[in-house]
Amino acid sequence: MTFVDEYPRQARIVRWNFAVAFGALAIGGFFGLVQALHRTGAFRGFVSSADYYSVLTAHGVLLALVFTTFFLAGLFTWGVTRSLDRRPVDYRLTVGWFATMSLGAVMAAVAIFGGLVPQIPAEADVLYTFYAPMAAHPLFYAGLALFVVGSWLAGLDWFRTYRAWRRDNPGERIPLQTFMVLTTMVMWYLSSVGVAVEVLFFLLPWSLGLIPRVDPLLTRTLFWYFGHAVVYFWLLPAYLAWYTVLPKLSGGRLFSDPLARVVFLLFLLLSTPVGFHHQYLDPGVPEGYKFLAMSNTMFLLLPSLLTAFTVVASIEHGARQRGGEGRLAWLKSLPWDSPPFVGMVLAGLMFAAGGFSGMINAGMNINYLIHNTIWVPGHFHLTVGTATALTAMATTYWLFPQVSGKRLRHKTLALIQPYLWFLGMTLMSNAMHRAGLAGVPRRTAEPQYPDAGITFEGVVGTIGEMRTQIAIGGVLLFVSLCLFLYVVLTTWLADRSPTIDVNGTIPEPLSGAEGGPRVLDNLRLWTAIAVALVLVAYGIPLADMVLTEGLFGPGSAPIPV
Amino acid sequence: MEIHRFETLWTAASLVLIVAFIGTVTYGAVVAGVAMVGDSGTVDANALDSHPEFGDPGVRSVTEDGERRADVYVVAKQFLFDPGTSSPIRVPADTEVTFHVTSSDVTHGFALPGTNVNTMVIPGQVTEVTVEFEETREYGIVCHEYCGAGHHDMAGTVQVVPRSQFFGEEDEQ
Amino acid sequence: MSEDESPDDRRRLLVRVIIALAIGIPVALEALTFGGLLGDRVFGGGGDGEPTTTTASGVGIGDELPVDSPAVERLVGGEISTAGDGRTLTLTVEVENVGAVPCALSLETVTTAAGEGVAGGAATGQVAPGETVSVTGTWTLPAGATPASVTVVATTYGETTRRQATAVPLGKLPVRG
Repeated sequence: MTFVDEYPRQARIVRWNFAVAFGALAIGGFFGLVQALHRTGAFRGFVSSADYYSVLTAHGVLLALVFTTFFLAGLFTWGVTRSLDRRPVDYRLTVGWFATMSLGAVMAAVAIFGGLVPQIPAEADVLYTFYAPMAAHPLFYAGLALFVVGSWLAGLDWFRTYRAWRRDNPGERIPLQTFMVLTTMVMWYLSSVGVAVEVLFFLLPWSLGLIPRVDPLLTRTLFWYFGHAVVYFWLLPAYLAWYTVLPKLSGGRLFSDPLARVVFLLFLLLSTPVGFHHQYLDPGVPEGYKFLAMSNTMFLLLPSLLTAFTVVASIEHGARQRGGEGRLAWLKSLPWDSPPFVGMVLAGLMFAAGGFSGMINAGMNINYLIHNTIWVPGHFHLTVGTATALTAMATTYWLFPQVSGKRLRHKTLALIQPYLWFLGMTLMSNAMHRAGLAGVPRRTAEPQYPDAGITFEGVVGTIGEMRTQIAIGGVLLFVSLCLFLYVVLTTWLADRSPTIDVNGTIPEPLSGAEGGPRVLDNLRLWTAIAVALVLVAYGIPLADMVLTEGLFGPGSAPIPV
Repeated sequence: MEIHRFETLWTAASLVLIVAFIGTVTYGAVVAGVAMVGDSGTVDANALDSHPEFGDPGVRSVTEDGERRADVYVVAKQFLFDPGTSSPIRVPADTEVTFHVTSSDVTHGFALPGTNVNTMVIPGQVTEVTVEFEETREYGIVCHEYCGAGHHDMAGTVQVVPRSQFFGEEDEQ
Repeated sequence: MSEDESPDDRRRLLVRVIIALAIGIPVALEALTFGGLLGDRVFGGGGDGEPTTTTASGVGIGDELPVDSPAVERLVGGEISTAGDGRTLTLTVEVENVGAVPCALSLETVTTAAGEGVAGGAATGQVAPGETVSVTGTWTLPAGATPASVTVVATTYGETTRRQATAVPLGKLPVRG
């Protein structure tokens, strides 16, 4: 039976979450086009350079927070319900978290749009990182806080459902998708504490005038305590799709269930105690903490490399089931005409490249060469911008018919879309990496500096060529996004079909859960270890900062944007 | 737990790669001596004018243990570097130059494209970066951390002059 | 999705074309980039596009011009002025004729980093042996342009008159607002 018929309310929750996610994707994606054209000088007619920063804030918040989290929530609702084969315990809680998250997102979005729409008496041109002492309107901080609290309630919903299942199934291994959801959410709780403290204890009261000063370094450190782990909050839903859905799309099965669990546990342990690698060049943070963050970060390469192995092995298995033979020739037997397959595979391929440019970022002293240059957006557009976003789009092609009962429309467009994304992103990201090596800054509306006479020296190709490439890549990405939105919208608005042409069954893995040691499912143990690692990596530096200068010193008053 | 032979090999190779990466970074830190920006003390961002050094930002020539070097005190603010923007910062080539940078308002960046000078400027903190310039030429200073509506106009210049010219002039002053 | 698609030749062709473009172009681009980086690192040159060498080997203030002539030519002044409406480059060259025959130097076209040629310049006229003469040329640069090189013509008035043109790469010059 299709998911929408077996769990109609949960299917509706999935659709609502996807609706908010894709709405945010549409606006945020359009703003990305505006940025690509503006900063390269190709077209500056959309906004002034001062307003560029409102656009940039919206792009970051809508895509990196709203789109990603709502997509995760929809996907995880489906995954938990499906793998436990039961409804979440309390539907009111489900609606409650969705409403809380949505309200928070709207509040923050309104504040951000206040930078573009004069009628809105609020501004939040602080970018997605909102570093103090730049201060946004309190509405922005309140919205963010509510949004995060809503996500905590979503986790509670899924944990309660798991607990109910556990009472009925003592001694059984946690079904894989639920295991992935639970470990992701534990990681989320552990890491979002940082930004919650930053916003609720410091920035929100400070923006309301209740406390006079905050320490910019302390609040920044709390943000980055959260800020690296959040990228795994974006990545792990993609991993869930690559591990549990992609093998089936390839015609086969997941190579190893226990190894998938190990990977998710490694992320639980290592996602948070690495945050200082975003602060390598910060004053006020001693080199020792930076070094520790560096070695922790390098070990984060391990779960991703393991994933590469497992995913490729699973795909190869699938290809051979379809008749593929030979050392490499089996690649031809894969379903390259299947939009969900293509999207996930290209996303995974691009992620590998992004992982290696991430290793450069992680390289402490190497970071001097590229910090805050446009190399960094080049890196994260490969990771969140493709691994997460393109996988989300690909998963939608497969999942949406199952949660709506409607056949996917315009399949040829859906097929072209991921290829076009891959092409556009390669062009844009390649040029961003090269321009970053030349020192071109990120987060800048006009990186040309004509009056200061600063020239950037390209190592491979001229800066002008790189600018053109970024503009072209950005346009192709936007066209690809439009294709996706068109396919989804026309499918959504169409009538229900008597049958859908998607087979939702997920076969058992080649190496099943029983093959893995029971300790893998001991979430309490792994949570305790994760907490201990965080206490070492962050407890000491934070205590150091607070004990020497106090909670609020050296402090700054709000500087409105 | 059944682990495929290829899986074991791949995991081992991954760990070797990771340790190698950590090794190269450690080499850079310990052997090549690339120091990271560290904790160089705090200041009151609201009272920089009364700070002994940042109250009068600029270039100072210093003789330390018989070695001549230069200290540059820079205040970053919306949307300029003082000095650097209205007048270039002149430093000697082939000499140890230490930049001391702080901010009087929001968080800024301080980077010289084409060099390793790349760092953050956080109000309340002092950033210290020591470099040696080999070429006599001009470098741009770029603020690469968003600091407000005029962020893209925030830039400056560093002029590297021959060492003899710098210290010779200093004697004349 | 694709399990229920019946094999369609047009569709297969479409997929082949799309794969060729969407994967072929990125692979080619990355290969070119990698090759360019290798070329730059291993062979100490290359990269495409820049018409002249980078400022690392450009002539700065106080440096001699790499001109093949019996005189010594030195860049003694240079700056870009953005005061007023335009962007004006000024170069002052001192010519010291240490040779036995008269010579002359003229500063001619400036080429920008983007490859554009800018007319302007000045000439010394004949410089007698033992004499030292200064010449200052000005050029109006396009907005945002950086001068990359200047073409200088050194003339030697010996038994035969010899003219030698050289593109002299320019280093970073101060910009005065």
